[in-house]
Amino acid sequence: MKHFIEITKEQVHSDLEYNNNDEIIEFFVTESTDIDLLIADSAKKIKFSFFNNIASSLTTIINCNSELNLEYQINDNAYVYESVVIENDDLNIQLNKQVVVTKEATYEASNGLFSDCHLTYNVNIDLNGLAAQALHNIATISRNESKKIYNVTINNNYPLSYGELNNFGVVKDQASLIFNGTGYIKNGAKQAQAHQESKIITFDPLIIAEANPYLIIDEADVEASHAAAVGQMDEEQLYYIQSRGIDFENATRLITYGYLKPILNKISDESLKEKLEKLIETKVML
Amino acid sequence: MSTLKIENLHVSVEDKQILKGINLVVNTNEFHAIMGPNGNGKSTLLLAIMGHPKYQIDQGDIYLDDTKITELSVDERARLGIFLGMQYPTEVSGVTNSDFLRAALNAQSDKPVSVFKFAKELDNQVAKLEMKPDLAFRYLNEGFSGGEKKRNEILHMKMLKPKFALLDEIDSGLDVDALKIVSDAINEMKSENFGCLIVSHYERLFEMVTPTHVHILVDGKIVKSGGYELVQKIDQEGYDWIKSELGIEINNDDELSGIL
Ligand SMILES: Nc1ncnc2c1ncn2[C@@H]1O[C@H](COP(=O)(O)OP(=O)(O)OP(=O)(O)O)[C@@H](O)[C@H]1O
Ligand SMILES: [Mg+2]
Repeated sequence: MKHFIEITKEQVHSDLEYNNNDEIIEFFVTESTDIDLLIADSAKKIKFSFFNNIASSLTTIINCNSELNLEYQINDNAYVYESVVIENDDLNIQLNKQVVVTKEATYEASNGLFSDCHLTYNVNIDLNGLAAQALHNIATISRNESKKIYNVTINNNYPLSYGELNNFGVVKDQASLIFNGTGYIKNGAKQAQAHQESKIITFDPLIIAEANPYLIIDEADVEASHAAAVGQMDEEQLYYIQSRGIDFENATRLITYGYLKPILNKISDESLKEKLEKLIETKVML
Repeated sequence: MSTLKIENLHVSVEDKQILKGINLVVNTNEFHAIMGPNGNGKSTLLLAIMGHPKYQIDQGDIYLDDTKITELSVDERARLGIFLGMQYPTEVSGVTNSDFLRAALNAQSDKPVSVFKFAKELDNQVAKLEMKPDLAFRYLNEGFSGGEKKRNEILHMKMLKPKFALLDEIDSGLDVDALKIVSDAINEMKSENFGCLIVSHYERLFEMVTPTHVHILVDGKIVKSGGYELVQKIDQEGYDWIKSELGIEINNDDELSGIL
């Protein structure tokens, strides 16, 4: 079963059940389904409640020039995977996401963000149940004049909760890119895990690029790891590729493609993986 | 027929002068061997011909037929038909060997190569070089063994069909059987449209890929040129005789040169 939702400033088109009041549009996902959510504009908060035990995919297509507030409630034992898609290059977007994951439920997000838009992406994920899980992946390119900031926070509030974030980025031209990854393990969240990895390669030494990892741990019995690196593109690699007749522009594309591709291996959902692979291919290799 | 001509080439790396006036003419249908002690500029010469941005040309010029290529970028030189098989091939993660080769072939032709023809040719060459078939589909050089990397450079040469190949210690890391396979592959290229500049320390390679010309490079200069007899003499006597015969000092870069 597949559902289409389109939200504009004035209207909501949806074949999925929802409530619409002054402040919030709330959708109820009561059975397993694939949802295409197209947001053209919205001044209201958009909320999804995923019921117990369902498995759903959510493709969030954003095509607007404003601040958006999204909220996902993922209930016990449900599995939700999301992919945010932005295709338009001329947008300036601030996206705020609040995600609550309860007992044994999983939120998996894999976002391939390759448009030249300006983007501030804030996501706060609360693991609010025993063995709740979140896996948040970003593969992104910032080029031309694009400014992109990603703030990803995962709060391990319960025992056995698992949080992982992976950020991979490439920056070129006059663009900038900042990754802030935060893992917060609350006291009492025994055997919780918080892992994060952020990597950026730049094609110019003057580029603004930051990968900042923050781990705040208030519990002793946990597992946590982080790795963050910003590096310039390898000159020897570039020379090697060019020595086979490939010009600078295409060589940087190949390196970018090769750099972002391994993130696909972190995605468990096969169809999402395929979708993202196509996106990387078309967006990077064109 | 084509000619690669190097005229009075002076090259420095990070402000250190390495090549001090190299003159060399390589025609197609010729195989030139370059030998010389460690750290005397052999790789530098090949990298500079290919156009590595770190290797600065202070003086002199490089010509491919009537085209002065000294100021051309690496990829422009490659598209004119120059190929460098590197002493230390670089790894490129996330890009398969096969995708890479296809991109390289597309870069040198006006219209995209037929996917089918490409796959067949690649299959064929991989088999001929007796490479493990999965190497074509693995990420470029990533995790390849030393010998596999070298064989892969030859695979690239076979696929790209350059006019001039510069092969830097292509024999190092190859086992005896692989050396034979690679030698056959180089010999097979010999034609009116192909010339080769081969750097190696060992007679073993030149026994199988017979050079038409042999040059000895010491301290950034070609101090002696001749025929196959030079290879044999170096194999038997090393480089000490050069010192007395030509009255020059040899800078041995490290103790490796002692065992050559
Ligand atoms: N990128 C570089 N940075 C600094 N020094 C360099 C660089 N490349 C070469 N050199 C120096 O230039 C000199 C010549 O090096 P080159 O690699 O050309 O020697 P070679 O003749 O190929 O030696 P080998 O037989 O060991 O391969 C050496 O002293 C080396 O250290
Ligand atoms: Mg060398």
